[in-house]
Amino acid sequence: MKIKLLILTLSMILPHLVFAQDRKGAEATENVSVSAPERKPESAPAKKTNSIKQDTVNLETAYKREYAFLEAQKRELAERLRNYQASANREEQALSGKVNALERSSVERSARIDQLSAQLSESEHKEAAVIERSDALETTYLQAEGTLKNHGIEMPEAMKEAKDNDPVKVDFLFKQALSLLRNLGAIQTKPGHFFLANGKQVEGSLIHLGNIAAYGISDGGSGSLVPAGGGDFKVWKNAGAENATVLSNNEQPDVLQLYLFESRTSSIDESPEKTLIGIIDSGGPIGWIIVILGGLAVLLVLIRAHLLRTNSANTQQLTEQILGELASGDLDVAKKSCEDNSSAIGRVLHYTLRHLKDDRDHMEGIVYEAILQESNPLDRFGTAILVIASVAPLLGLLGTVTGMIETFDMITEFGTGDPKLLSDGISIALVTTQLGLIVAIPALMLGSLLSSWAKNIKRDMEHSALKIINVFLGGGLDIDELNVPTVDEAALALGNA
Amino acid sequence: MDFPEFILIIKQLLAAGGIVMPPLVLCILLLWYGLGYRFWVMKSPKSMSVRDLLKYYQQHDDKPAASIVAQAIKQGVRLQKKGVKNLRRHLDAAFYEYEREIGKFSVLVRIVIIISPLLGLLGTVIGMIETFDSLATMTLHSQSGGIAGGISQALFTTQMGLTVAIPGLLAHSMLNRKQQQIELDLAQVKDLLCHQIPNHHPTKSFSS
Repeated sequence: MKIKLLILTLSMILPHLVFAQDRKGAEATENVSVSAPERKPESAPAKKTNSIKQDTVNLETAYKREYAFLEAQKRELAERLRNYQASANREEQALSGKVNALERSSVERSARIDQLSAQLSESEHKEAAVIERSDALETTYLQAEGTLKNHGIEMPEAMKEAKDNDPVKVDFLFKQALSLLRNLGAIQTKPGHFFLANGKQVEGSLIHLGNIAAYGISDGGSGSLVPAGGGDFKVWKNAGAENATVLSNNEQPDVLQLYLFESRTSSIDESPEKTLIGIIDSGGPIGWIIVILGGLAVLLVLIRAHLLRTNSANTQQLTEQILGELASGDLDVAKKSCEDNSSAIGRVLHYTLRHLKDDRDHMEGIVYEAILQESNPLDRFGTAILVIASVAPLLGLLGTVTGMIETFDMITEFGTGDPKLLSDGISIALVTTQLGLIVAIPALMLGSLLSSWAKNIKRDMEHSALKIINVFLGGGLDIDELNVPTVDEAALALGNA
Repeated sequence: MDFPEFILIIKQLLAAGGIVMPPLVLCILLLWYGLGYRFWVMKSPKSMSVRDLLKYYQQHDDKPAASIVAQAIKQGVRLQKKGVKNLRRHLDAAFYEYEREIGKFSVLVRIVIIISPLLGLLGTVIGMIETFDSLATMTLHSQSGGIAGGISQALFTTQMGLTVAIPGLLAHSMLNRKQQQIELDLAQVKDLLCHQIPNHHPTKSFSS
């Protein structure tokens, strides 16, 4: 390119140079031609015709000489120009040939570069694959080592250190693993030691059923075993002792009591059994308050039931008996039978009979007063039981809220990562609700039933007193008329509710 | 549906609800026994006004009584015919049985209606406790129970409690209205009987 440019510049400059020379020549000729006429008038007067011819010859020769000289110079310059152009052309050709050659070589090289980079990426792929494979192999070795180490099998040190013996290593590992599998699948009896339920370590023989269960037999005690951590075993809650002895005699037990474990290395803890106290305790102080209230309710219900039972009697039977005695005219016997009956009805009827001679209004007053007197023990504790029944679920709700507050405090402090942390508050919440309901439901039921029992007793008293007064004062002593059996006798005892 | 299949479904339901299901089933039985009994006792074949009934039974003594009010009226008419003194007291004593009869089981039904949702709630709490226990002991998906078992028990018992209580409550309120109506009717019968002048029998003198 440069060369082309150079040539171009040269070719541009050269004509100028030539032109400049031409101009110089032209000026020179002009000068000559101008000076010649000037000189002519100067010399003319001086030398006149004499010298005119000579002058003309001189001028011509000079001109010719000059012309020849100039012509020669022009030729020389043209020659030089030609030479120069020829050399420039040559140079140009040479240069363009060079450029072409260079271009060709560059194309060749880029092709080569492409080829090489393709080779490079291919080999990179291969390298990555090889690394991956060797990583997988290493992982396999590590896993195999870790697994086999638990069973006391290790790769020989020399084999482990040596490079490039992967087939050997893999072969060794697989063979070991296969033999281990066979061993673990079998029932094996080995001497060993294990812990009894009381924590004492005893020597004895261990029967391994594969790798998922084991029995231990020793003089101190035997049974099915569970891992106790660190490869040791312990007896699981004294279960399977007969199985163990039977198995040790190479016999087949009827029922195989087993504890299947996943791994013999991780220890298995006995989960604490849920006891009643434990459940109540997990409800916190509110749980205990509810339980105490529940106990109180039970006590009150028992007392109330006892009071009602002693005060109730078979009203109908007693009324009929007294009416019969009145009909036969012996008031004293009737009074006596009332006194014998220790129930509230008996006492009310006794009052009634004592005042039978009075007029009706007075008698009714006496009867109502007696019923009022008797209703005091009948109503005792009734309200208290129902209050407990309604307070217990409220306490349960309080416990729920308390537990939830505790849970959210825990969450604020430790986050929600570990559910065991939260279970404390939640168990308070749920256990108190549960206890509240467990107390409330029977208390509500029994309280209502007892209340309606008491109400029935009072109404019965009223009714039988009224009946006796009626019979004595009004409608004669025809008992058959008054005791028309209108009620379906099949009604349950619960029907009194 | 086959009978054994039916039994199987009931067994599954009982198992799904856990420990509160037997009491709930007992509640259902008691509730509907009580409601049925009350309905049976208070049934009235036709709506005849109390006054008309009274007139009818005063004229046709031997006709059978179809409802509890009619029975009471019959007995009241009998007492009136006997001409006892202080008829109102006698009627009080006589009608006491009927009042007691129509009030029978009402407390039991009320108790069942109150406690069956509570039992459902108890089952819910028990189910939730199971769920959170399985959270704490990390036995989340055990075969019996676990999270899903606990939650299903919780929801199922609530549903069951409400299923027991709501129809019971509706029926109970209807029967209570009827009971009040019958009580009013009985009071009306007493008033009517006490203010009618007995004209058939001469008064039987007792005080002689």
